[in-house]
Amino acid sequence: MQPKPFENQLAEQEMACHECDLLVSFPELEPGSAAVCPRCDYVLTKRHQNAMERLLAFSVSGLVFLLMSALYPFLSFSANGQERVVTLLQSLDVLADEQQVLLALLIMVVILIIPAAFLMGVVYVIGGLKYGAVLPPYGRRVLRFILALAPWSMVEIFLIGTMVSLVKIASLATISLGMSFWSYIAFTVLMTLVLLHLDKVQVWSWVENSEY
Amino acid sequence: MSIRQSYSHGSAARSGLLLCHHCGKTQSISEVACVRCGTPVHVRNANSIQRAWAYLITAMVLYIPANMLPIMSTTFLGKTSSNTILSGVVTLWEHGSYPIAMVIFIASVLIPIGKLFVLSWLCFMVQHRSPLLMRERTLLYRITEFIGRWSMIDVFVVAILVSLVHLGNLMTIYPGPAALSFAGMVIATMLAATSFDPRLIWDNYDGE
Repeated sequence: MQPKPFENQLAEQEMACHECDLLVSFPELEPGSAAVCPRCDYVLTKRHQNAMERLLAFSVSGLVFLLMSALYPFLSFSANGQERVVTLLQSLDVLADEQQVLLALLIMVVILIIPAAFLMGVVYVIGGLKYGAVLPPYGRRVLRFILALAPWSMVEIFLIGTMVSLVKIASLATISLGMSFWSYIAFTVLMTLVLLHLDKVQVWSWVENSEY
Repeated sequence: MSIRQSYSHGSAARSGLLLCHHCGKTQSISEVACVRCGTPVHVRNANSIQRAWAYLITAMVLYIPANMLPIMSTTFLGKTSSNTILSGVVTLWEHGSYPIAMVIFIASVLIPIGKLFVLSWLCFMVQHRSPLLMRERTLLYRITEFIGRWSMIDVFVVAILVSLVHLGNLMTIYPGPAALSFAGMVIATMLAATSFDPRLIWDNYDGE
């Protein structure tokens, strides 16, 4: 379903710049184009090709990979005949055992809980808009919540951190990468794609248009 | 600090309009909550500069234990040694792991310190109503906001090492108290960046 144009039927729309408050008018945007503030170069809003379909595809597959990376072994480490295999959750458990409960919780929230909640929210709201043609119950609240969560997802940073640690200990022992590690990489790519395709202004205009 | 009464030429505020920070709906300045998404709206973030300073000072305070205390300690064949962030970088460098040493140095030392300086300077300039370098300051703010989260790399490195290298006296890595202080510091600077309202930079713009 293409969102029904209502207010956006006007050839020009006015929007204040998020970063310098300049009032900018711009015509209806074609998919693949963006509106940029002439005063401070801030990207006001972007339109993507088949944004709804892509968002749904990326978030659903992202969730599958996230589930896989939570279940399977993440990394294994062996030296002098001793081997140690850890899953993502076990690795946080070790941290909690070392009197670092707060740190373990914080990491779990930014690498698993926030990204999972975010993707589920995207599926719920966009899926409802696309297949139900209306905003699902509590849709506004869910959308506000997940958009506020988005900046606190640290999936890609965690992945780089993991790679740095692997390089650091590669000389000490034999490292093998588990199924979970590879799914986490796939999940990171998909999460990034979702964030790139999710334009707040666009999503809220879908919500607005779904109500008429 | 008083709230500025004048806004720049061409700004939405001068036309009696404001933007919802959350959903991007432009609406009348008299609204209290966004007409579209219900988020509370403000012409400028409430107490933006005071809040930014509060978070910045918190971050500066947390940065002290984050650097003085050990971030992790390593037991290797029964011998234990502790490392702070900086001594860890030095050790890596001496062992010839230059790329890793650089990554950790940039993420844990350069970015956090740079971020504290940049945000302090941005707050200072707004408080002094400076009309200088507005485009550059906005760009600097954007970079700071984008790059800040990357400082968390070191915290994740500690977490992975601690959970993986756990072979008793043969080889074990323990987390140090600096890891939590450092994570707190990164979060405080992220909150400082969110509190700072870049629109304040432009309120003294009087060009056309």
